[in-house]
Amino acid sequence: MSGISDTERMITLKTVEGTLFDVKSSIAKDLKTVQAFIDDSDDDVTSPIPLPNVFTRELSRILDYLNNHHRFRSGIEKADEEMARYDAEFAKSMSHEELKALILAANYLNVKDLLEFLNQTVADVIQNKSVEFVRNFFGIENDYTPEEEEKLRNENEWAFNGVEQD
Amino acid sequence: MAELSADPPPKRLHNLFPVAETAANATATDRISELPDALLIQILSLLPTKQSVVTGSLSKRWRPLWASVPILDFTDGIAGTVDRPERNESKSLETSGFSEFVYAVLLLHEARSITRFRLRCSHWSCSQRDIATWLSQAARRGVEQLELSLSLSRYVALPRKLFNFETVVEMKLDGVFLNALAGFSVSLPSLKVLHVGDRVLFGCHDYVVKLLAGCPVLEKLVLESTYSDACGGPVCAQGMFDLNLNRLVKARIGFSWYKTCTKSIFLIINSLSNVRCLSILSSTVECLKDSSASDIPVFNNLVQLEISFGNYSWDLLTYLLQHSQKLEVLTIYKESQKHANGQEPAWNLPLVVPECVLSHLKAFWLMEFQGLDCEMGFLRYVMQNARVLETMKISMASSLDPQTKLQIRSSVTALQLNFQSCQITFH
Repeated sequence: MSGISDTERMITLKTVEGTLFDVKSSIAKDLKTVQAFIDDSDDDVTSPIPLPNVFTRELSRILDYLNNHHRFRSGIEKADEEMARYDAEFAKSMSHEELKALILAANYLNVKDLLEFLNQTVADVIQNKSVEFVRNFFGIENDYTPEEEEKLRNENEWAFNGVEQD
Repeated sequence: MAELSADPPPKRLHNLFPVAETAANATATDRISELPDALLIQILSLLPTKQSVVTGSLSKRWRPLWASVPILDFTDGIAGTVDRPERNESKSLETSGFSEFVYAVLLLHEARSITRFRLRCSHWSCSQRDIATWLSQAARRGVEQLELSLSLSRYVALPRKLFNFETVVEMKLDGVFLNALAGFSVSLPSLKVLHVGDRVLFGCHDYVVKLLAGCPVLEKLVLESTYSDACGGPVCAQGMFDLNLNRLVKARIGFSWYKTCTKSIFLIINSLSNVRCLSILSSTVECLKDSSASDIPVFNNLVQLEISFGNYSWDLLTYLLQHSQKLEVLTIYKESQKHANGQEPAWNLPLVVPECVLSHLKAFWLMEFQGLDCEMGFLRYVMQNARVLETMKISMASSLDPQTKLQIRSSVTALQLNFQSCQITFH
């Protein structure tokens, strides 16, 4: 409708559980997958956009992150410290399971800044951890034979110094 | 086999959507393997190369991923630690295998271009030739960000390639000797950010001038080294250079020099005249304190100035203010300094109020204020003359007793009542 500026327009998103979220279009722009959907639509998108891979808990967290970061960026200079504090709290508040679920959602929705932040969080979690720990974290099935694994260890012996033992 | 996390789901959602919540718990760990290789590679790029190589052992799918990470970050684990002779042997053991590891990675690595290359090592783990070879490889792969941190306990001649590097945009050097610059010209046509750390030996300041002369598009410069080892030798002040750093926006300068290098130093100081933000550390201020007004260039764009000094550089501060008409933010870090015999630290009132103080200065921060007369004099001067001052922050030296602190506070508040509408905070 004419007269309503871009930043006021609201988009509705629907999660797997059927929960509806009203999102400002300026925030929706950061959800690149959603934005692509809007751009590809011929008419104005009025009905809720379904997100078949995104659960309520994750979307709620993502919107929380985006809303806060938009607030930090639009405010005064001092926001850098506040933003760092928020980010640290945000990372700490999640279990590994929740972190993984969030990365999957952020990847599906293509939220660039959040993904970078989550990547760093994951890197911090797996830093210096044992091979088994990292396998558990990523749900990786070990398809090496014991001989193959032993060979790899020997080839990169120096790299294994300092890695936690399994 | 993948394990399910033992973490309980958040209570409120568990009550409303029990089925969906369990599904989320079960599938996150199973689905995480859906993440595309590109994302996993991004995560690996945040780890030191040593650790990302280890991920090749996770599974066959993971085996090739580390070789596509466009970042190489090598550290031998002991670079930068203090030299202790009795630990030499253990250090050799710790680092044996490091150079073989680096060569192996460079051979097996498959990314066509590397965006960032970082090498931190000491002389126990690699030879001068190793370093030259590795830097050559980095140059060949179009590295844009380069960080080199070595140890000063052994002389390593930096290779020509490092200073004739087409693609590098950001370079950080520490624990190195710059003497090799005597032997070749410098061409760093893409370099926008140069950071010379505090463990760098110049050999002579002419070499720094030579280095800067090869960086035509430099935007940010940090020169922190306070080593002035061989200055005064036959090379000094012989170079003829034209230093034109007209894209330089931000600079932080903290080295010192002997009188024989004065020509080079003033060349460097003058090349900073276009910056918007300038930070001068006390070692440089100490060397500049006896300069005359004509030695200090005019800073046409300077908006933010940070300066640290003891008690004898007030004149220099005046010249800087007089030459920086557009200055908006001034930060002074005071350092305590012994009284020199027969010299009383004094703030001399300039004949004319500097333009920036009158019409541009918006923020003034005075850190480690000691309550000296010269400090109070300057503070009073600013408060009386700065017409557009919005904020002032004063942090007092911890050596002051509470009584003195209170006195200072009340003097400043009295001045504020008479002259200022700005906001003043004390720390």
